[in-house]
Amino acid sequence: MNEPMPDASYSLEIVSELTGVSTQTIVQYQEHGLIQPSLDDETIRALRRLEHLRETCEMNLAGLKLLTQLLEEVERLRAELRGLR
Amino acid sequence: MNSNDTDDPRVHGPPMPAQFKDYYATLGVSRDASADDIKKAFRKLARQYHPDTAKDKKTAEEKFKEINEANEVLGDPEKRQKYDTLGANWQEPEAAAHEQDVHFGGTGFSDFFEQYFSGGSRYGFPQGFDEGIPRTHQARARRGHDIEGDILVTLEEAMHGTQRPLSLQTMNRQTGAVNTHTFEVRIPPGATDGRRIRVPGQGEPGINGGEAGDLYLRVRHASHPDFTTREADLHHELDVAPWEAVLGAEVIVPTLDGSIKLRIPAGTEDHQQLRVRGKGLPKGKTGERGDFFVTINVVLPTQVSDDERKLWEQLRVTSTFNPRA
Repeated sequence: MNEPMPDASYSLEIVSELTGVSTQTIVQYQEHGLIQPSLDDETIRALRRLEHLRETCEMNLAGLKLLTQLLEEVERLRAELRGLR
Repeated sequence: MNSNDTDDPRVHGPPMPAQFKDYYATLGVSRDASADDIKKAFRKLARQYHPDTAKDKKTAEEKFKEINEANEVLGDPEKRQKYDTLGANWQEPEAAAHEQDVHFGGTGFSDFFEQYFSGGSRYGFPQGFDEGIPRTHQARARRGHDIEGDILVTLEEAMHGTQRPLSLQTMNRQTGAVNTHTFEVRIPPGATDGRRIRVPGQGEPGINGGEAGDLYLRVRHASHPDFTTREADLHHELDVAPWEAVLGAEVIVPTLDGSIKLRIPAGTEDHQQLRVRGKGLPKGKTGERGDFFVTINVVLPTQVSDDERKLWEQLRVTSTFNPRA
């Protein structure tokens, strides 16, 4: 099986194909800060999560944006706590 | 990648409740130990059982993993609270059996840890938020869910990279179908703590002919008695005598690739950090490496001989240093 090189970066079309999210939506998410500008494994992960939330929780863009910010903050705080151990 | 091993008993049912692990006993602390107590106990034991320094290497490796895992749970306030609550309800194995329907093997954590504390989840969300019934298009091909989990990696493995065999068992809550697969994961050199590694196609199987989801493994650095990591930088705490700090000294310190001679400049203060460039973990593709930071702990003798006492008294009289000025 092919393993992506660490820190591999992908084209917009490939990311759209791998995640089932249209290229327009990907760009919209980038503009709203839901995903980072670089298109890498983290972006794919984030997009699949967002799609899942959109489908299971019927979350709109505003909700996705708020959730993303909160999750990022939680992650940052957790990393900080780990660093203090 | 590899097909199921049909002799694997786990193919035929959800995981049995795992054997309870007494993490407090592992670290030798009481149930109301403070975070500091736990930290100290862990460091002492980790030094004792680290595979590099332990006397009996066979038992040391298992014990080292146990100690690491105990620290992973008791050293994290959220996990510790869950563990303390769990302990109280341990008599109910039926509740336990359905706790986790994403089950990893070979991550370096015990089955008990995997069942209750691992990151094993769909999309990284707690259960209840992960499975939804799509309201329409139930017959169409759907990609399988992405699965997330943690993998315990030693600093040596993080330094040089490694290949690890893993197994993943998922249970579809709607159909009850259990799917197990084994595969190899490549951990690249320089994998930092918290970094996610994407393993394509090793998540949940697809539905109605859809593709399988991906697996995201979070690298967790196993604790090391001598080092901690922060991104690609390596951190070490060094105890020095007061005269070494005041007068300067040359000390041998360990790094992940051999010992080095470190010069302690005269007038070094307590908690001061000395940096050695390029002795951390690899980063990027250019052969660059993070740095090695040594934090100085000036330690004082608590018992002195009569001769030493005389010298200290002399210093008291002679010195003009006033820390409370």
